[in-house]
Amino acid sequence: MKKEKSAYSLSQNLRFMLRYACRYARRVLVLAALLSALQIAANLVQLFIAPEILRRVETAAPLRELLGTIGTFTAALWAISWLTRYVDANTLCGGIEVRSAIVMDINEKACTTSYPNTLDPAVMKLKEKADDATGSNQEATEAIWRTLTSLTTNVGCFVIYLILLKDLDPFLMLVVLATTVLGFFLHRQVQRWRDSRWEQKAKYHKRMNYILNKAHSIELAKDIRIFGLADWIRQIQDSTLTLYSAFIEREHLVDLAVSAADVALSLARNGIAYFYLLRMALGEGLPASQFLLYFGAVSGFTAWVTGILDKCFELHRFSLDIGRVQQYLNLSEPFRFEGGRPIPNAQGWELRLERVTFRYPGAEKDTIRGLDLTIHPGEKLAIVGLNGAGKTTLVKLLCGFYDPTEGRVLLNGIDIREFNRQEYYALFSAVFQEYSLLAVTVAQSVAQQVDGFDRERVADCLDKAGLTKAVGELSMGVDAHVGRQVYLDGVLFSGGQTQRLMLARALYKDGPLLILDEPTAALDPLAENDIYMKYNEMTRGKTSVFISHRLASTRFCDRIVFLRDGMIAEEGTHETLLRQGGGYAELFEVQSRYYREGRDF
Amino acid sequence: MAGKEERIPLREAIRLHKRAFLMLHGYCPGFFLFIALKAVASSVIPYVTVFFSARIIDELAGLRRPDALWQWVLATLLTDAALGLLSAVLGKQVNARSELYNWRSIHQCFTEHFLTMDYANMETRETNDQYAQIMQNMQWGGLGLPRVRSIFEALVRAVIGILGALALTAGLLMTRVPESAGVLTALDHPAALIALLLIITAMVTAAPLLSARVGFYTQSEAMADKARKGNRIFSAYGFLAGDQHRALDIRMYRQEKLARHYMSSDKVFGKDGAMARLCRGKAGVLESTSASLSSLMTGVVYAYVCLKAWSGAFGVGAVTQYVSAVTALAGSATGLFEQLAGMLSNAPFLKLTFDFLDQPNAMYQGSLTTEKRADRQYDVEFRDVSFRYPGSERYALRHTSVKFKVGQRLAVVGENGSGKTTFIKLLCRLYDPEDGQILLNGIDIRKYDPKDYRQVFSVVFQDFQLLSQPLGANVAGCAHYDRERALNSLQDAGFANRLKEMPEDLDTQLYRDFGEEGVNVSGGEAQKIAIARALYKDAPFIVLDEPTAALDPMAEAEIYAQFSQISGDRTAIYISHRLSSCRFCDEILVFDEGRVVQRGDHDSLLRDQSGKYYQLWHAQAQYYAQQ
Repeated sequence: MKKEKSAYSLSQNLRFMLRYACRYARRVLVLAALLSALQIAANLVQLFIAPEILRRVETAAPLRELLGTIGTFTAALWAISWLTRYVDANTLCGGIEVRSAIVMDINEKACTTSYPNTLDPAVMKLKEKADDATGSNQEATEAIWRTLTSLTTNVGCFVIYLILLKDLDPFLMLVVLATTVLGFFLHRQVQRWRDSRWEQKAKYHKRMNYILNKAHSIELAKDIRIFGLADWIRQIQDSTLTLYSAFIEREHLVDLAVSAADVALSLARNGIAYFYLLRMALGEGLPASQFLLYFGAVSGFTAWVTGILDKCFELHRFSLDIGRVQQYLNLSEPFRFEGGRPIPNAQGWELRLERVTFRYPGAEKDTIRGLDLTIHPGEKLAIVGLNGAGKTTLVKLLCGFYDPTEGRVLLNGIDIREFNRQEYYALFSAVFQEYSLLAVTVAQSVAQQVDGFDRERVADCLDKAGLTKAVGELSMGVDAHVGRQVYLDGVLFSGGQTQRLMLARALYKDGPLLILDEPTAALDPLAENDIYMKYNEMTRGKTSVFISHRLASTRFCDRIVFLRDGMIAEEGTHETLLRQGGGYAELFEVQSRYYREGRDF
Repeated sequence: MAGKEERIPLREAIRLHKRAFLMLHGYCPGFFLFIALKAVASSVIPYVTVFFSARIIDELAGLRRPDALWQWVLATLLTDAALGLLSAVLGKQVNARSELYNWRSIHQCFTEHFLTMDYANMETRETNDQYAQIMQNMQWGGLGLPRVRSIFEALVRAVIGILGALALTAGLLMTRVPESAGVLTALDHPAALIALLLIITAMVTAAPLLSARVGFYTQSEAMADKARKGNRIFSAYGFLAGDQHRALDIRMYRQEKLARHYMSSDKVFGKDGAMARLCRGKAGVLESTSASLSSLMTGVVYAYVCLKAWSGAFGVGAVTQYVSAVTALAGSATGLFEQLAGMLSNAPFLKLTFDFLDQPNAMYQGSLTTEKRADRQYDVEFRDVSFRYPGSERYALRHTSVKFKVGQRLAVVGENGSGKTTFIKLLCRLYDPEDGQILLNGIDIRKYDPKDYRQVFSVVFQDFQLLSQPLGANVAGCAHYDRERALNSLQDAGFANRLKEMPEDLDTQLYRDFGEEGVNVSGGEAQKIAIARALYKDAPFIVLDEPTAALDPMAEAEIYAQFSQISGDRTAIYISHRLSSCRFCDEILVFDEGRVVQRGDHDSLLRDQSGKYYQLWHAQAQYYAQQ
């Protein structure tokens, strides 16, 4: 694997975590330190308990002394193990609190970052890594506390052992050190090799998850039954697993080899230790208890050295992960989100595209090409065109989700890049084809606020969107939760009802600029007509843009823009465009053909 | 979950675990065998070490014969290495299977259930709630099926541990304190042994009992309920932006504020949440007490063993052996009890799982086969059919009687929620009517074998799904198929031009979910593939549900124009909000509030100016009237 250079150093990443801990749960630090101290104490007691007691048996010390020693050690062991477990049990929640705080900040960044960032593959990858680093208790942003605790314990024990066992021959220490370090490097090499295969492995997991989710999903269930797809799904699952199994086989063989090497190293270490200590015992009369202590020390040293190396390696890995979290949180923003010109006070709002060209990053041709368009204050504009003509892109440019590749978007003559983009968004009421429905109450969904909203206005907007009856039938009314994702008793709205809810939300927001992108696709003819009839009222005093495949809707608009290949091919009122007999007229003819009377099919 | 459920008795808990074990074992044979072998190997290693090092210490504290010492050392090293290797080999077997285990067994039993259950059950709220609960229990605590493996492993370890420890302890009871020790000979008195045994038993049982109490708090249904909700909130709001479809609305409506509010308002696992309070209070204290009991017991064992050694019953080396052995014995016994307690606390979650998996298919499964008629002469009749969705008060369909013949082109129109889609679902027997009958060629459709019956229908649902798999496999619905027939179907569905652009023809993978090399298709193109799938099946009935909602007028016109080609000699049913589609159908069914209110061809229906059809038609057609 290539060495990854992190944008942030270990100390920067540690400071980042410390800042969060200090702000959200200081106890994480206190408990980690306490736990480490207790673990060191427990190890010391464990090291001495057997030799100290044995020594008294061996030398036939007075009974009182023997029992006293046992009693003291037992009491110490008991107290330490009680406290250790208690402290340990209490570290969990603080760690979760800190990680949740980071999750919320990442989410907030993701929710507010400039829209093009959300589609940039490099940013998406970074976000994925940031999510990974905060995804569970075992990930860097929570597990780091445990790593730090463990590292302190290992270092502490190592130092104390060094002091206590200074009589031990340095040769023995060297043997321990050499075998342990060798083992560590072997493991690290294998770990790196494993890491290099991680991406491939993730692909298999993605595939298996994909097919699993499909098999369990209600959406596919109808097709499975009608077309008898069950066997196909079983087969896909089976072949994917077989491939995966073959892929991981090599890892397990390597693991086996490493385990064998571990056995060999430990054989060498213990062999040398026994040989050395036994010679000492036979030659210099080392007592049995001392032999036991030294041999215990050898295993202890091995454990501490391994622990220190492992934890340092882990810390390094975690630091990389945390670095990515920081990198994401500090991502630079192409849009202006701070300062900027205040949005002027105005009576009417004019939106203007000035020689706008737009090309999606990585695309081979422009989606919008040198387009000039002025939407006058209070005007009702319709945008029509075939799929792929650039309608949705145009709307995204107007709303400030993309900045043009060339040209400018102006609000009342001012380039929108000069405003704080969030303040600019505040001007819009919009219904897009892609929507975000949160698991909140119906009322909160309409008002998009937790509380402090106007319930009467909520009811009014629901009414205008034609939802009064459906909401009235709910036992909780407007306080029923939407969807079952969080609240199991939530209400499931149909496609048409959801579309109406989105409309109600746009009405509640009452922004001076109204954008409706296919707001009636899921509605039946009567409901569709109902929305058309209300269109005038909805748009009163607003500048509005309406996009629809149903050309009936364009009748209500002051002006129609017909897009073709990213350019305005035709524009005018419904009547003038029909008279022109161009693309719009053709489209209208195609759609209305079947509605005309007296024709036979 | 409502209220407090009854406690499951131990015997029932064991039965549930046994059943789960056998089921999982069946999906993944060999796995549990290797787990057991590995557990045996790794439980034996410590005892071997204890045994040999006791011999070395003994010799050192006693005679100090160099020959004997070297022999013991050599034996220790070699046995250690041999067992280490054995355990590594077994470990490899376990690990290799372990990575597949979840997929092959735990997930698989749910997959099988979903693939074979009645569709009617699939859509019910109970099913969804139960399944969500089971999954969330697995996620938050590995509760339910995932725990079976760890319980099994721990049980094997405990049993081997007890056996091994007993073998090493035997000497402790057999060697007697010499008479010269005076009052200490009392150590061999049965009363002393019983006292020792009692103390050990008390501690061994107290620890699991206490930790079971902890489980009672931390894994109680009430806590699980809170935890599941906490996790639902965390995954719903914590990763809100992960769903790209939300990006526009999030920014327009500043939804991150709502997300933050909901996330901060319910922190079960936060520093002051329900879990933290439990850890600080009762659960933490109990757990610590339970965990620290073993160290008290170590003290008692040390005292007894050392006293015996001190009085001359055995050497110093044996002290280390006996202390380790008795401690291990107690530890293993504790483990055994802990697993029993674990089964008790896991039992409700397993029960929930089995309740779900055992859910019966209520649909009557007939055995008649539909005649494979070359002339495709099928007629269908709805006879006074009424239907309510499970859990709903409202009739989705009421007293519907319709009859239609083969070869007809039928349009189905009506408002949202008027029963159009329900009509189709009943027709394909995704649901059975509550009242009335549906007949195929005069026979109640329940009497047919459902698989065979569904052969008669091809349906392109509004929310049809394609898989990220090769194009041809999607058309055929299986991996090995008739390529020519697939090509013809795609051609008939109007996909021929797009097919030419596909890099690998029929083998082109659709979408990127299954691999980077996949090709994305637009909504309209996907629609054509779905139609091709329906054509490939070559069923006498073909149903198109709202196929043009996402299409632009040109693409819509294309589908219309091809409709007669698509339907061929089949009976075709076309559901749409676009009433223009009624013009090329022979007959129109107008649904309103669950009934068929009108039936006829376009012209005759339009003549009834008070009728629903007139109203629907004009709502749309008024805008297209000739100027």
